[in-house]
Amino acid sequence: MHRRQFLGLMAVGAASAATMPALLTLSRPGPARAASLIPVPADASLAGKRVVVVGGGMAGAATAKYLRLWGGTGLAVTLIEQAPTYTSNIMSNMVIVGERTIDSLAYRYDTLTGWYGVTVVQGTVASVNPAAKSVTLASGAVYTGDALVLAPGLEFGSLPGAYDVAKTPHAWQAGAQTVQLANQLTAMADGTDVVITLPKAPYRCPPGPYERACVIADWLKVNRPSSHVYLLDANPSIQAEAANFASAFAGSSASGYTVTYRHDVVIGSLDSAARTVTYTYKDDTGTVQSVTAQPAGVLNPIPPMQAPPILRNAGLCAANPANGMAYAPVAPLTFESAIAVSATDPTPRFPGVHVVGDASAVPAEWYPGYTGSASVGIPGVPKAGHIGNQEGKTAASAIVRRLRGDTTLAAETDLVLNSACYTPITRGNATSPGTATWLSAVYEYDAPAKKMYAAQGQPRAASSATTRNFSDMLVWFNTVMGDTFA
Amino acid sequence: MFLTRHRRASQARTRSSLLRVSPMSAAVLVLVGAVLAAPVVAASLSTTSMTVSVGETATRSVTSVSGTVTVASSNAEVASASYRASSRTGGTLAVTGVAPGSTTVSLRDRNGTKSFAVRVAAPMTVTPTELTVGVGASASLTVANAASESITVSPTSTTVFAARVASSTTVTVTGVGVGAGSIVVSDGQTKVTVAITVTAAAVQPPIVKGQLLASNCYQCHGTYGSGGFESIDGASASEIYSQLKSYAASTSANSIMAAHAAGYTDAQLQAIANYLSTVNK
Ligand SMILES: Cc1cc2nc3c(=O)[nH]c(=O)nc-3n(C[C@H](O)[C@H](O)[C@H](O)COP(=O)(O)OP(=O)(O)OC[C@H]3O[C@@H](n4cnc5c(N)ncnc54)[C@H](O)[C@@H]3O)c2cc1C
Ligand code: HEC
Repeated sequence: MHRRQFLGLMAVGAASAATMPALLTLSRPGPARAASLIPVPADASLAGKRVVVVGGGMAGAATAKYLRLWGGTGLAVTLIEQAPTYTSNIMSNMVIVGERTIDSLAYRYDTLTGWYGVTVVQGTVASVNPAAKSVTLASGAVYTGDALVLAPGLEFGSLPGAYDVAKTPHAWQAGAQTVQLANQLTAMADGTDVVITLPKAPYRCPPGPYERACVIADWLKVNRPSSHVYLLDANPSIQAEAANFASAFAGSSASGYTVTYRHDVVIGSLDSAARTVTYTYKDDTGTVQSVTAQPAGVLNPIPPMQAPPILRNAGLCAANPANGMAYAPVAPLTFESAIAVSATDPTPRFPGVHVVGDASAVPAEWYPGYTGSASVGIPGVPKAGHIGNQEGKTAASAIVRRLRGDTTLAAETDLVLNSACYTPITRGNATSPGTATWLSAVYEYDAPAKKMYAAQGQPRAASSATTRNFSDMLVWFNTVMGDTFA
Repeated sequence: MFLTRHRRASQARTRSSLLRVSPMSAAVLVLVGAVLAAPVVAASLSTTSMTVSVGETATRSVTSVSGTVTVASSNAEVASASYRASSRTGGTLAVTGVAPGSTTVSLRDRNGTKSFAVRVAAPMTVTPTELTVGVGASASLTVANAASESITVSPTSTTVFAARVASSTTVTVTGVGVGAGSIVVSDGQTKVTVAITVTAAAVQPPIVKGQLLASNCYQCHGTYGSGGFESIDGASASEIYSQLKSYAASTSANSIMAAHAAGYTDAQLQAIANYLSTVNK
């Protein structure tokens, strides 16, 4: 086991956090990694079978890779992705504060095609026909599979008032918007404020907005010392790692900055051109307070998000009563669509159609008799990349077993999904490394309820922000991206 | 092997079909039919053409013959031609395809010569002609150059396999029980025999217990446990299991591995350790 070797590498990376060349090489598929690539077994028993996967993000790319690893060379896997490369959302907050370049978050599909033998089609899916297990591309081309896996991520909605995403990017899908937000931060005058709004849960990456508030506050501390971060949360409390974030926001010795956190926020109107936001919130006594046209130097509204139209139009979604957004309900053991034939017939209407990643809704609950602190985490399977990868593996396993005629699948109950997020709290500098915390959760399958529940004592968060967690964060990031794309 | 079998079949057909137009070939029937409708007079034979398959013989009647008739094929390696008189003034012209290609057949009597082009189409092929498939698995045969859209297969089901025509170019064979047998694929002209062997041990790795469970580790330890924080593949099951148990029992508040291991049941940890001890060895 190679812990010492890795720590050697880490030291180089951590000391030059701004460029991190050694680590970035590791995160890219290339000849240096070839030795650890796992060969696709020469197994033609599924010859003639095809699986079509839509969306080459965290969930879809992992699905495609593991379909080949577990299905063998006979199983044809077609991955349809609109972009030529994938840009990781994970670590993208570090681009906003100049710690990484956006290019360092780009992942190519070469290894999936060249090594794993996935057929990658660059194109945009315009519609899904779940009854036929087929999709139609904008080009008119139609792809049909023995199974269809949909992993298109999320669509971002609107906000009240003169909201214009072109002027106030959410940067919640990493790419050009991330760079635009970084540029807005660099152009911001000292003494003006950064105002971030976040929507009602469930949204993508529960700790993400709090992490963004932290790294931006840490950047302001050095670069715009008279500026301040306001985090306007539509939820009643911090949605993940509450203790760690609350302590960072309050100006702990680890953070050395403060963030003004407001909860139960209802946005009345938002003006992207004027960069103002009018809203109400509840103060700590529960009294509703209103704020009119709060000005911002950088306004970063994160709008509500839901499954994209290709899923909603196909009848694969249902509204979540918590936030009114639509996601695709799935059965946890297979991630097959759980949309029923009718109100009286619960049989799945679209067998063989699977939805993984943020677009899906996994039925989840706390385990019966849960006594831990709910404030440490979130009472459901989160929309996140690490667990999205695991959802992809779960669907791949179920599909391969079904195509092989494995009859034990129906009796399977031993499903575990795990989630992990590392969260930078401070960025570090030339003399001292950054600090980070983490959140880890293991979910077990509850067969009678057909739901996932957080196992006993889960989730667990780091007890404090440490420099060891910061260097571990980079190892984890490279590994999860490698497990997905290389 | 294929060639020998095919040649024998075509010789049999040549013998039996000389006396009549082969009813098996719709395409040839149409062409020959046109000629039959306007009986050939050597002196006034209209220019026409003919398509036959390899091994197939097409005939047509010739009337108003005067004197001795001779026929010739300009390329006897593509098609042969013969004439058989049934009376003093008429008889039957037979053209037999020998190999794919084109040739010109001429018919000559006292009044003159008439020629027409003959094209010989390639015979239907089926690949492969020997197939091995596991019980419960399916494999495809690819049919090319079929003379008609509707190919047939027989038998369609036995205790060993089930066969089905999936399209005009594909036959699907599914293994039913261990054993051997054969099927015959026909396009109405050519028959190809395919030997089928059904094996018990499906040529597929079994779905191993723990495969999916252990994949939860790969986001942090690399695909199949090959790297990341630590490589965890290939150690003995008891070694991995005891490490997992001590992580699960650990109260270390800042160890993500301890937090992670605490989420599994004992049986799950055992299954994961067993699986990881077998991969990448
Ligand atoms: C700032 C930030 C930090 C984060 N940090 C973490 C973290 O620490 N840990 C963690 O686990 N998660 C984290 N996440 C969350 C994680 O990035 C997402 O949950 C994850 O990317 C979701 O994966 P997905 O496959 O569902 O969607 P995506 O990764 O968004 O992939 C969807 C893919 O589908 C493609 N696509 C969409 N529509 C179509 C179409 N019609 N045709 C063809 N292709 C299409 C897209 O181009 C895209 O490549 C973070 C997110 C953000 C924003
Ligand atoms: C969220 C990340 C994460 C996940 C998921 C994870 N591990 Fe770990 N694992 C670690 C870290 C970090 C260490 C190093 C721990 C330390 O130094 O205390 C580690 C260490 C280990 C070690 C000790 C290796 C050694 O040589 O000391 C073993 C064994 C191990 N993990 C097994 C597993 C198994 C099996 C799984 C899946 C059930 C798993 N891990 C999932 C992060 C993870």
